[in-house]
Amino acid sequence: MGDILATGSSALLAYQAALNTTSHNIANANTDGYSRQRVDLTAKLGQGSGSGYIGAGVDVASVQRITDALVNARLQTSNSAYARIDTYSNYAAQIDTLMSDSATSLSAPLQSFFDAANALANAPTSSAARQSLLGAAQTLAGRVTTLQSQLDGMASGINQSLTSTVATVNDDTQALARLNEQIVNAQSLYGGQPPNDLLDQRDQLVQKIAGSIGITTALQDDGSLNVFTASGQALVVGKQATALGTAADAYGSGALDVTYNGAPITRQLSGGTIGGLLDARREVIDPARNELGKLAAGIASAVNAQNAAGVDLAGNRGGDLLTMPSGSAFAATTNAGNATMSVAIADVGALTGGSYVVKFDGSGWSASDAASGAAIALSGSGTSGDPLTLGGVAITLGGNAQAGDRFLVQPTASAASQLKLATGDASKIAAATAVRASAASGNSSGVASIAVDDGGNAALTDPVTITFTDANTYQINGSGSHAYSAGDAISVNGWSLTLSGSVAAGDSFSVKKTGANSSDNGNAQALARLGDRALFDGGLESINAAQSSLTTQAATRAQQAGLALDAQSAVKAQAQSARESVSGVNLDEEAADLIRFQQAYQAAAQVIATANEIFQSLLQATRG
Amino acid sequence: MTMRISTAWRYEQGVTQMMRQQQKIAATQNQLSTNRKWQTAADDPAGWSQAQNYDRLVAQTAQYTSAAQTAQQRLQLGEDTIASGIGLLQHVRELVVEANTATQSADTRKTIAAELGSVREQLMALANTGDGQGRYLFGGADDGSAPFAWNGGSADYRGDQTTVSAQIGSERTVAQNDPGSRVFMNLKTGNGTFAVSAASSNTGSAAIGSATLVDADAWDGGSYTLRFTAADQYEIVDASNNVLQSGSAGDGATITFRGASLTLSGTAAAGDSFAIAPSASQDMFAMIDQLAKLLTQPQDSAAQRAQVQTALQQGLGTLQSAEDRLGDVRSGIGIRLNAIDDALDVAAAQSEHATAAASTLRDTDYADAVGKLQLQMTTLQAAQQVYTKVQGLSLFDYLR
Repeated sequence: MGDILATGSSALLAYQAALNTTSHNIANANTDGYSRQRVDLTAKLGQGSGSGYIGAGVDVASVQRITDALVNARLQTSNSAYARIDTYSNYAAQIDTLMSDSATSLSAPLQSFFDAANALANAPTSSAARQSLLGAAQTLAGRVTTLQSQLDGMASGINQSLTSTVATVNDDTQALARLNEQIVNAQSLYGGQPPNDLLDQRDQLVQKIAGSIGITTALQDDGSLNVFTASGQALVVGKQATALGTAADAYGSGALDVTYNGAPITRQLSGGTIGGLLDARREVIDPARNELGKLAAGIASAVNAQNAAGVDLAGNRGGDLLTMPSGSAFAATTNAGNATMSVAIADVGALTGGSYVVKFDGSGWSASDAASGAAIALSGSGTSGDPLTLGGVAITLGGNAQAGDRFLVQPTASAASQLKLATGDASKIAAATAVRASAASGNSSGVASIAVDDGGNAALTDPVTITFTDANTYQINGSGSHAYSAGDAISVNGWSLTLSGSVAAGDSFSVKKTGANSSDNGNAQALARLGDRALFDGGLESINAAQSSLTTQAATRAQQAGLALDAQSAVKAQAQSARESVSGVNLDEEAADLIRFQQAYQAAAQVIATANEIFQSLLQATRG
Repeated sequence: MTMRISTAWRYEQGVTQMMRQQQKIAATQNQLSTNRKWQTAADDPAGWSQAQNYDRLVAQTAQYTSAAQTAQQRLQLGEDTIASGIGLLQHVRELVVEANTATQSADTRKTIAAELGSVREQLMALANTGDGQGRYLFGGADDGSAPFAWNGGSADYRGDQTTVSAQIGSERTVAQNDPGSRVFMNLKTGNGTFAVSAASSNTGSAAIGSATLVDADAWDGGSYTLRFTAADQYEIVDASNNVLQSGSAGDGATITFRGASLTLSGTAAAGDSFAIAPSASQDMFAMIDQLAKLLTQPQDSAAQRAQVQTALQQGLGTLQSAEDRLGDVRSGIGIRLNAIDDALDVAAAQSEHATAAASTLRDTDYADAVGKLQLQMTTLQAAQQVYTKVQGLSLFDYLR
């Protein structure tokens, strides 16, 4: 009798607990990170007798949350990967939009510039055509600098995001350390029973940290959870959290490093928002800035070289139309010497788009690639007559370096910000070929054409007389003897002259600088066709092609990032779905449990009632 | 074991599905409303760069077209001007022929000479024609001021010899001007190889009518003198006074030496001589001026008339060269105008093809996009209906 009552009341208590837990599940059906809980029931061992063991009811062994460590670990990895690619693709898409949108891209202003040069070729002396070419150059330079400032803005946005994400990580690891302490206490308080809801909170926090930065975790015997960065720096050990920090990089080049105990660990970090920010900076923004800088330097150098190959409206050799951008050098903050570097872009065709670390060992300079660390050939001594030369730049040194001093040399990263008009005077545009040729009166042959091959030749516009001593021999300025056969070009001082008609002894031609106010349009034509002239990569890529590749490279990165984002969001959804399938609350299931446990509770109550009835019948029997 | 679908996850998935469909619809809507398949280059980097190359080709053909049109206008102006010049030279020939008839008196010849003077001025005006843009057609590249000026005896050319070209195709240029030096200057006098002049001391009535080069290979470019030792006896001496050939020649006789053929009219007097020298250079204006001057020379005696005749025949030869020159320039312009027409056709066709190619790459395929939109809308509708139906299912509804 007493057994039945005890059994019944144990069941009542157990099902009360079960109903409580089911209600808790229902209540938390929409709580993020909540794991459904289950009451573990065990049968009470009864008292043994000769007729066997008769059960004594039910016990609540424990209330467990249902989780799968493997599934959680998968979710943690996919959270990290998703947050990384989400951040990365966000920047890739921004640059793609910048480079694609006709309002911000370079393709329209670049084409307008060449169109304006063509219009000038149609009317070489028209001041309207000159003004419009100058205007087009202004627009082009403006667009280039605007793009650069957008990219710079993104780079400083990345710095800000790094700072704020690091702060979030620090808050989270601190909270996690506190939770560790609470969990250890709670667990020891009730004989190792799991504090389910605290554990859920901690799991939730781990997922959040994983979204910020790639981590690994290790569960300790006392119930605390240690958290490390993917490369092994301890963020949380037991109830102790170590904060990450941010600091300017070793050269103060404007990029922030993430630090651990004051030492930069930027290169070791991967995954999460921080990994995405760092990858975006390295793979998207820096290459875009370098490509843009290369293009800007290429445009300036090509336009200036072409202008120098002609004469302007006043009859002078063309000067610079655009300011030639220069590279930048950052001294390491640890440098002991006071050496400075000025970096000039000397050979656009040799620019690589990379950055270099240039070191002084006490006697000489050496260089390595800033990204890969590979050694780079360096020549020259650093004087203005013999500058240090590498990757298309010429570096002139100032001050004195000491052994161990280092510099970060960025040839193109900020070059685009310097592109601007060098002159506001439209008459300085050299539309005319620098030299003109005339046949002496009485010649039997005439001038077919004269073209400038080398605009940089110092003697280009020096007056030259070509005199034929016979049909196959000519003299230059009355001396020498040069062979000629019909159709040959006569090349002197960077120009080449072709003749028409048949040459006779005594024919003479004079070549001299084109005069002022000339209608010659040879140089304007060359300017209009500059876009297709190969300049970059050792003469493989033209300005137009470089502009195209600026767009397509950004587009390809954005496309790949977009695809990776889709893939990663599917992976993340799968991991979430797996977690939900293990730990999530299904209300139908809970409803069924509710019915089940209610019925069990009613049945247990019935057991009490039955015990009561039995007891009553016994009383009646004894009474009667 | 069946998989547990958590209730919160089911809601979230339903909403995610609808959002994804809405995103697709927005993208299709964008394609339809902008007529652009791509929103950014990332939608198809390779296609984008291809389309950009086609755009560049279109822009380039537009450049060729504008250069061709500019050159066309200039060349047409040049052609008109040269055509007028040819007319003027014809008028010169008519005037000279008219002046050379026996009925003319010294006075009427003087009038004709004056008219020739005015023709010369008209030709000078043509040579200094502007292009309507403040520049001169025949100044070469140094065309900012009038290229020709009359100095009293001949013309000074102040332009240069530069031919300004126009880029009318990727590898095709055309000259859009003819420097005046090549149009109006440097005519070869006489028949273009040599010129004949009568000595001013000639007393006979002999004149050289036609002087032609019959064998170019035999001509050595030297200077010779035809002189008469008697009325019908001639000898030809070279510059060093060596007698080359001699013989008898009367009225109408033809003397041939070193590939040159001279026809005699009238009768020479002993001692008369004619110089045969390589052609000199002369500009068109000086040529007309000399013809005019010739007409004002006295023609009272037979000897005087013979002087004028010899010179006139030579002048007419130079006039012929001038007419040929302008004819050549004109046909050269015609050839270039044809080339420009052709280049314009090529540019138009190229531009059309490139535009079409870029459009095929980049523009929305409306049939496709509209079909896609229909499908996406249907899918969204289905997702919405499924959501409302499925979310209504709950066991709690039956717990009453």
